[in-house]
Amino acid sequence: MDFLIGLQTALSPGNLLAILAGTAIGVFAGAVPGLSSTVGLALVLPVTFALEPVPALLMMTALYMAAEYGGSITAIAIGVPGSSPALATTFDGYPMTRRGEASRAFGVSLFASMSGGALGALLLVAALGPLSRAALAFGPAEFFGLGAFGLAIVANLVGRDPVRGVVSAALGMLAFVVGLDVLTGAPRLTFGAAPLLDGLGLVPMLIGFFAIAEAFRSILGGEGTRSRAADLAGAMPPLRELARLWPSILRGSAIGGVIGAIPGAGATIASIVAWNEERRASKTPERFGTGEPAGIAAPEAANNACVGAAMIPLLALGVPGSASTAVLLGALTVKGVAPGPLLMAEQSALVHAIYAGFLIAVVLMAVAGRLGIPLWVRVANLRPSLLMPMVVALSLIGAFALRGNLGDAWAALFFGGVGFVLLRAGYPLAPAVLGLILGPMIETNYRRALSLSGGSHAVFLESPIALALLLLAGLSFGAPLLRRRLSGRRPA
Amino acid sequence: MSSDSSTTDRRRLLEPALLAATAGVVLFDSATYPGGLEGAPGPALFPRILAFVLLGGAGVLTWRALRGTGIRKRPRPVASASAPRRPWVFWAAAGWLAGALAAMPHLGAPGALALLVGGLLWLGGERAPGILIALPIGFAGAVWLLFAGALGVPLP
Repeated sequence: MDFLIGLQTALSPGNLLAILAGTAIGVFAGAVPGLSSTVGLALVLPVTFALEPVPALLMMTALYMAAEYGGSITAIAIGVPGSSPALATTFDGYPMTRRGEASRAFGVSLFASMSGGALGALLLVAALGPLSRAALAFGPAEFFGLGAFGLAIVANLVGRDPVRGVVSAALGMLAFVVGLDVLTGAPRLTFGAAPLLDGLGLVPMLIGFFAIAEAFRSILGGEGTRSRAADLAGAMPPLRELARLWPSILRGSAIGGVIGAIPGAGATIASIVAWNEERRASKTPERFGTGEPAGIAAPEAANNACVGAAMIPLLALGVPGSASTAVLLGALTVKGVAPGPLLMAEQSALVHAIYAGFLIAVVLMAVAGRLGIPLWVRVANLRPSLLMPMVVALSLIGAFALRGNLGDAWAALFFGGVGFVLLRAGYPLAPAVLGLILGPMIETNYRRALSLSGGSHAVFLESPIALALLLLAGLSFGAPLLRRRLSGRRPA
Repeated sequence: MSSDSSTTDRRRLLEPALLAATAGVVLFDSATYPGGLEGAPGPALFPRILAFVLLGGAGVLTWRALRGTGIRKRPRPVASASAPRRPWVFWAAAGWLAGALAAMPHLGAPGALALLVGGLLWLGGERAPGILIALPIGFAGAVWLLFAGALGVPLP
């Protein structure tokens, strides 16, 4: 009954317009490399000051949801993740575009995002209380285990040369080391240069490696990197194929739902773990990374399921688990809404309107995405010599816009050059980005856990969650390398 | 051994040498970091582990180079599958991008973006005057309107 009242509130013309505006801005913010759900939310925050609490929060939650889908557009069209949670989508999305199946890839991404978003919203409705308490059981030891589990995916991303793949991951982690140490404040690898004290950002590295290095490759290789033209007529995959992807979507949504509810974990690690687990569950793991639709469905479902799940600790405990939910917390505070255990009792109408708003945003995202597919495909079909200069320009402006700092655009250009050289030398770039993303989680929580335990490594064995995650990490890392070694020895 | 093959061997050794040098710099820098507190590892531990991973990688690559293996099997980058038409273009593109970024505070974002896109289009082989002029100007204008106008991002 409360939900129906919430639905009625969310469907009022003003609120519907707010959700529509949030969805449109979210798709755009997610698709532009450098922008993200966080930047999009920060940009519309001042706009929401003039709105009533319900439309303001509906606009922001719709934006948050749509941005996660938007990231997949550029990931599939040009191999550049619009935001870091779409990184895993590039692994199979871009190869599909390159072999002329962009429209099919976009269809899979949209269906998975929509389903994951809806399942995440249902999880929010069903598990607001219990899951938020369970998520708080995560301490440094558990986060270290989660980070190690995420990093174990490197074994699946190393390409044909495991040595260069592992070195690439190490170089990515070294990039994160640059700057002030979070725990002691000691400068590391800064060599006395003040601009390096802030560290090398993830966004400039993502933009450099995926947009600018690809542009260099395209320009140097002439039309060699051009993808085959996609068939615009078949804008969506057949229903039978989408139905076949349901197990992947459910697995991805479950992973996104659990990881998204853990404060500090986030959509990026959820989508990476979902891709890895989908590959492990597949009967044809060797097809992952070459354009396998399930390799798009699982991470896209995961990062969209994360949105609803990330709202759980925010609403139930007032704990923002990510930068995006921190901006949302700011918006709630400005509107005089105090999230926490009493929220449901005191603001039941608002909470139910948010629930309903999520589901409406999913529907609007599906409509916008479906209408947009022909446009995304046209972008993917542009000649690289025409497309890449615009991608580079947009990426550099996106890098600048993140903090209003031209230094970030320079850093993106630097990483573009480094990425190009690494690509030419046969180093895969995805492990480096993974290292930069997960390095802080692994190092900081490892040291924090040991600090709390007085230096005893038993802390990782005493926590069942940490132990299970570390065992899974070992299995995840070791199994593909062992399989590769065994298949290498098999006689032809 | 011919001079050609010795040059190739030296090139093969350049990659592990660069990795080893990077590891050396990390180990040298980490010697100055403070120690950890209460039994916890200090800020030097993680960079040192990574430096040893790089040294291990350098060792394997050196071994491969000396044995003459692993080179032909090395995965070829996608772009190199099609013969590069103009190797100097990479440096020209990098220089042009750097120049456009350096000019941005003086020319403003629209001017610098138009130059950036126009130059990259030309380096990419585009020669149609209509595209070389209209596309950069139209694109720069659209970006300006979107970021500065609609989103309120203050561009240079």
